[in-house]
Amino acid sequence: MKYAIALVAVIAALSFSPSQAVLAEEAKLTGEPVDMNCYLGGKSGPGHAGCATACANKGNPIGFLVEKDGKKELYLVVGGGGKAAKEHMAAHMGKQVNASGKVATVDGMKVITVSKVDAG
Amino acid sequence: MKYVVALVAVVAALTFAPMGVMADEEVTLTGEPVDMNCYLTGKSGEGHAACATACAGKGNPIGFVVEMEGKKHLYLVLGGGGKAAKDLMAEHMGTEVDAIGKVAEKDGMKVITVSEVSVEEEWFPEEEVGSASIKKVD
Repeated sequence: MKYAIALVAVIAALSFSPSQAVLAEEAKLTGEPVDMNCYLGGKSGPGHAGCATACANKGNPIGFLVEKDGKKELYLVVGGGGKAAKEHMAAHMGKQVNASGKVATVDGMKVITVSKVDAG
Repeated sequence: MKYVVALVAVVAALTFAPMGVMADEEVTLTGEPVDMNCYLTGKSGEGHAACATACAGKGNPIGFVVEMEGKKHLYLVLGGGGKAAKDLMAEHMGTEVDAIGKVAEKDGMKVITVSEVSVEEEWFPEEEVGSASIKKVD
């Protein structure tokens, strides 16, 4: 009976939740911050860091490229901890870094809300 | 029907594009521009438009939510035609619009490089006007 009540409470909490907030998990990802406009044009890496930094500082969206088991996965970087994405990432464009934050997949898009970045 | 045409256009554009390269053909997607920070916390739609507009204006990343056959697809919006994403989208946050641009899928992320946005006009049936006839009087 106790479990049934708990189950009903959980279902009720989920059903009547005021928003469809995405469940995010805290994680540390290693990868390269890329300017999305440059990356779509095939440009990334240390050789393109100067341009990517300028583009990121202009406010272009920033991606975070992670390679896992030989497969590339691209995350959208969202700013966290009161800082914009560019404040976290612009200084590190084109380099391998560790990004700590909450990761989530929303409607097919991978997102990391970054709270901290340190050089890999 | 509009959604089916848009879906076919998107699938064709992605199928015939080289891996990770933007499609040459422009497509029209119908959907809602959302502020990504707001959207992650479950906030979108007309009731959240003012906040989303302010957030987009600040330079937060902008997403574009497209619903096709009951499934939501989230695109990242990139500015095209010399304009930033916020210049094209900020005034339309939370409302349904047509975004015209090139779509691509790169390492699992869907992207639309928007060149133009048009607002869907609501359709109102024309008022029926009474017909007049001319009667010839001899």
